[in-house]
Amino acid sequence: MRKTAKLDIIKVLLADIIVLIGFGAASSTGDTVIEGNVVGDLFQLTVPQGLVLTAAPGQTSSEDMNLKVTSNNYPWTVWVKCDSPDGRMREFDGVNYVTNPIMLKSPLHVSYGLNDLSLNSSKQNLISGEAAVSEMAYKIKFTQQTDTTDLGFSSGHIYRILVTFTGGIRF
Amino acid sequence: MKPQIVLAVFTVIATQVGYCAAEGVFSTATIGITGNINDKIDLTPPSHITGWSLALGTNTKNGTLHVDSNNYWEVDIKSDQYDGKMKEYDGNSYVYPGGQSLHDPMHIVYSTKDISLTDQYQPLFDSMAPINQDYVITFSQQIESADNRVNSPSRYHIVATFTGSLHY
Repeated sequence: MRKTAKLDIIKVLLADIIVLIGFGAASSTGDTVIEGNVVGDLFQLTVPQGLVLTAAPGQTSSEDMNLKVTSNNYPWTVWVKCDSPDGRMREFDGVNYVTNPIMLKSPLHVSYGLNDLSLNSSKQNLISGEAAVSEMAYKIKFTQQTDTTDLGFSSGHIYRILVTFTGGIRF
Repeated sequence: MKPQIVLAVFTVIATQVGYCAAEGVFSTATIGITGNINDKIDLTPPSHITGWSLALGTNTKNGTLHVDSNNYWEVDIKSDQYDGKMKEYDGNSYVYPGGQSLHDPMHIVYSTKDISLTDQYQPLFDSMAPINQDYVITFSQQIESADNRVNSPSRYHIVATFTGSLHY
């Protein structure tokens, strides 16, 4: 009996041990694959509303401005053109261009880096982008050469030109 | 579990037969039979998401995470990307070098918990009571204007790993 009881105790202990071994830490793992693509191309550019150039006759005047580009794809291009066929600023009365306006002798130039363009009414390639950008500022320089014979207005008239920047992706 | 209980019952019967043969009288012996139920946690991750059209701004997709656990549990998540950002994938492998990457990491959201994925485990659920239940979680991906669209067969890809474990 004692031997049997001892054996029973051993077996009970053994059974308990087996149960305890069954308590191993449990875990479970799974993966979720996520795939997608960006839809739609986005291209935006912004420029300041206006710029004022002041120059004495026979001098060169220049002003910088930041042209900001946002593009989610590439290659992209920014072109520039103006409303004057030969890129020359012309007399403006504050509301309209004057009929038979007085014009500066030289065209307005716009440059980015080493790309210096004499403006006209046809679009010209100003900046080429090879990467996506977000609100990236590009320093654009306007340069106006004046002639000693360029007339200064005293009647409230000014010289004016409208410069248009256009940009796009994969053109 | 069942084999362990059977083993303990067999022990009682052997004791009674042995005693009877030696002494010629019956006696009764008792034995305590103990057992337990093994802890378990079974986790089913959300289904794969493919062909997700990611537009500028915040994009979200819901997924269902199922947890079946008989003890207190937690679920931790990580991604296969150190920064949690979806990367350009050609259908077989990540495009490297030169592959594109989104600018913002994938987020996984449940209730007030908002996790920005990394390659390190982070708790999405913690100290949860035993349960067998679905949980709707949200995958959230922000798209910036500078995020490129990649050309087919490329797409953006990331793997989110969900691991459930028990609390003792």
